[in-house]
Amino acid sequence: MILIGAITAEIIKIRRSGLLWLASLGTIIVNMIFAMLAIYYPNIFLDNSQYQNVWYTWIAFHYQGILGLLLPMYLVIICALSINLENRNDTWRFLYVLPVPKYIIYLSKLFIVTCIFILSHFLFLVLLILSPLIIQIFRNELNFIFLEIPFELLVSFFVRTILSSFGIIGLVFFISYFSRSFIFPLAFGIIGFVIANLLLDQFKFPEWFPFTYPALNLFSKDSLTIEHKLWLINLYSILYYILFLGIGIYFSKKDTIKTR
Amino acid sequence: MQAFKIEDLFFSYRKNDSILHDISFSVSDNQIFGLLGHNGSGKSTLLKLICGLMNPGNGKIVFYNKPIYEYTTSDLYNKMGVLIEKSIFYGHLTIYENLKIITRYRHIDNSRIYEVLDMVGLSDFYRLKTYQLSTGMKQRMGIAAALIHDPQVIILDEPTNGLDPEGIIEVRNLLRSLKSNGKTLVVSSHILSEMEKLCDQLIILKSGKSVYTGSLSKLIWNKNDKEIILNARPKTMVIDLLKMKRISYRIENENIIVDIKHDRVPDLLHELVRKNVLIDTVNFRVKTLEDLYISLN
Repeated sequence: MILIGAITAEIIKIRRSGLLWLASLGTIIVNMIFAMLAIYYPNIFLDNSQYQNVWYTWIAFHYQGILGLLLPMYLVIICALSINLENRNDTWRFLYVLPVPKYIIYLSKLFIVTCIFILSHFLFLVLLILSPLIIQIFRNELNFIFLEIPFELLVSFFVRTILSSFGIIGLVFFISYFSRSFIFPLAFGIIGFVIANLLLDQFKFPEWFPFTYPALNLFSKDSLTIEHKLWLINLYSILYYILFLGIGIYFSKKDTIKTR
Repeated sequence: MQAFKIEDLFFSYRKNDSILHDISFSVSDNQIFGLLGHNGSGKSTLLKLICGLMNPGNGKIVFYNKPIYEYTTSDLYNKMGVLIEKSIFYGHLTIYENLKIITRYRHIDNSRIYEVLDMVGLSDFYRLKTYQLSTGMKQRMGIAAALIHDPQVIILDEPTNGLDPEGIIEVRNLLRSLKSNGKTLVVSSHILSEMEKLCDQLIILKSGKSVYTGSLSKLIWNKNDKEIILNARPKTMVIDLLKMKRISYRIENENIIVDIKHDRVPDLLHELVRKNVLIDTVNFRVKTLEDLYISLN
């Protein structure tokens, strides 16, 4: 009951906030870029779809475009912004004199960030399916409307992207919540991206670092060794989320206004 | 019944840099208790400690016969309404939305928002975004937020800060009406006259130390309540006599200002006359609160 109250309060807070605008507009802009690419350079998709349904190329291009850099940075920014809402308004003191345990505040914020991510990724998916209807007006040769949409592949990417992002959300949200800074989690995100790329480049221990998980979903199943099977990677991601949720709850219980 | 009992409270942010030392006082139920002190005297820190926002280094804070650390967050902040330092809200939201956030956290009905806005005189402005509000309006909104759940104890840090004279009177009347409705209020301020008009009891802080605890009227009564402004010749003879009698004095614009209890005045004047001192004028001046505050150490 307390958690539900805290979650509804968080929903009121993020209404008309930069966080919600960024989450929705950012998603729309990324989809628009892909649509523009298809309209102006249709050959990119046609050349790669000689032997297969163009939808496969279309979906693969979208996920290749976001999983490496855009998605991790997007997650870092929404985590940092959700906490910055309190830092900027100096509202921690306001929250800490409410009859709500401090860990509930941590939980409710993390829940909202996770929901925003899932909803915005769902929006991404919807736009990914709907934008070809507009593209078709300009580029009839792409044949989107005559071909079958591979929903199985879409659902697979959707679920794997969400699961593999949980690790980053858990880790970066924890850092944002306790760092009291907007810049620090951003800097951490950039460093995380660099480390993830180095690990993926060498392919050494990528399964230990959550920033690599979304990108690992791009590897074909056959190219992954047994340690790096996707289900295992996504399980690690969920475990990271749970681990940092536990640590976050522990530290938020001990949190006082003195540290804010 | 005692709402608060504070014993030997000590607090520091860093080692060897104490903010509060040995603070002890108690706040009775249905009382307006004041925390008076200049900026940086430790008022806000003391308020944060007594409302459980920070833990003291040493000492005891008892809230309704139970140490404050034994309360759950929920129990404590259902009994207490708090406004600390300044009114802090989400600037991109309206007054109504900000208070609605509190009603969600506290599980209270939205209709209460209109009641408290009416109490603080903001009912016509509920659609305004908080970044558009003046300091005084923000302060009223902070008070509304502290009152929204109808708490038994209300803790307000500088509630009249930023208010115009009319607003100060309105807030003062509001706080008095809360008291008459059985509430207990702990209010901090650096404005002496305001505390005099509002508080039943108070603690005066100077550099983190308590220099006085009790009622203001008692403070005025206990201290020398009058000063004599004496214009007499020869001054040296007057000063010699004052020194001999160990009466404190100071020279101000050719006058000798004598700090003396009013019942000793006739004796002093009698003695001066006996020593052939020519007394030109004798005036009495009631000591102001500022004088008393400055004289406290």
